[in-house]
Amino acid sequence: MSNDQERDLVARAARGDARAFRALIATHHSTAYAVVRAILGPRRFDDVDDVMQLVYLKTYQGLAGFRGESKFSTWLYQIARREALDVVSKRTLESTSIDDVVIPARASDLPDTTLGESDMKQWIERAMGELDESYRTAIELRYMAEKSYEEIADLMRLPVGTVKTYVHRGKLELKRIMSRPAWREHKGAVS
Amino acid sequence: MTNRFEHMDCERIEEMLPAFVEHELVPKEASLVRAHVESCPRCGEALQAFTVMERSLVTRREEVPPFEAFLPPALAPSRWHPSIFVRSLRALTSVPGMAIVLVMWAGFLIARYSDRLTGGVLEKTTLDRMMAFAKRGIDAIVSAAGGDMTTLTAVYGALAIAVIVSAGALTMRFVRD
Ligand SMILES: [Zn+2]
Repeated sequence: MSNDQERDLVARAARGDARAFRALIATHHSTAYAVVRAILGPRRFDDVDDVMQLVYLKTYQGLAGFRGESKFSTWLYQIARREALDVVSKRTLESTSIDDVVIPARASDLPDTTLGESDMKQWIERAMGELDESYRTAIELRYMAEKSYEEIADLMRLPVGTVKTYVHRGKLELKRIMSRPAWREHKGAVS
Repeated sequence: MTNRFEHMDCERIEEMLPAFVEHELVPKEASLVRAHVESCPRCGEALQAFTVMERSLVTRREEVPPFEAFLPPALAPSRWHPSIFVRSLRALTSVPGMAIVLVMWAGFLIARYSDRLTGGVLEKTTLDRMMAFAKRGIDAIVSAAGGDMTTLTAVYGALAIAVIVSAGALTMRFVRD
């Protein structure tokens, strides 16, 4: 979608055109979703749907005030980030013990077969929870939202080199987490 | 099996592996890594681990659910949201609509032209008969209206718009936005 097309859609959506709004969201949905998933992390996965609904409601309500100084994608990214962070801070107040949870919490949670593709998926999901939020955001934007390093740099307002470092360090970190004795015992973890 | 020098590099090599797997390294670095992992089993294993991780990460895109579920109820797509006016406008500019009317128009022109060539006796195929029938209908309207050029243009124009709109509307039924 060109910038002009997008501006046109934003203008129409701001006037209440539901079709234009849906077209905008359809284009940028994976970005918003990836950011919300990254900030909430696997432990707050249950909040993802609520936050996403809030994000699109706020986006729609805020369109009238969106002056187009930034790209729509950047603006949506910021709304998604803000709403997710808001939930994280509220939940942390409600339950202070949540960060004490060690992953994996119980041995019975671990896969007891050799690590297949689907197990690997689950393990990565868990290990993601232990990453720095900025690493996780860069990785989710890269893989869940399929963004290029340039696009991620644009969204996160960071140099491209920094984003690459985040993704690569994040992966080194994931491997390190999955190599811990507690994970390794249950055979086949990434060694 | 591995010499001291290669082992000294292991930490640095491992740090390069994520970029290596993504083909983000410059050729010189990539060949350095390639040479190392071939002779160092430990880094070879690490490369294997990052390769598996990469394959798994790529599948994360499948975890994005459809966006419709998160839209405020008033903005969710509804089956009964036709707005005939908007649809007709869109239909006017629809490519299939235009293509169909162009073909029809060409058909009418050919029918008229070949009629003139053969003196109205060329009515062999079904298409020719249909064309001739349609033409006679239009001619009847035109002559009833006085047979002037303006009326003729208006009739053809109205026909064209009707065809575009109906073709467009038909398209919209199958191609949802
Ligand atoms: Zn090595």
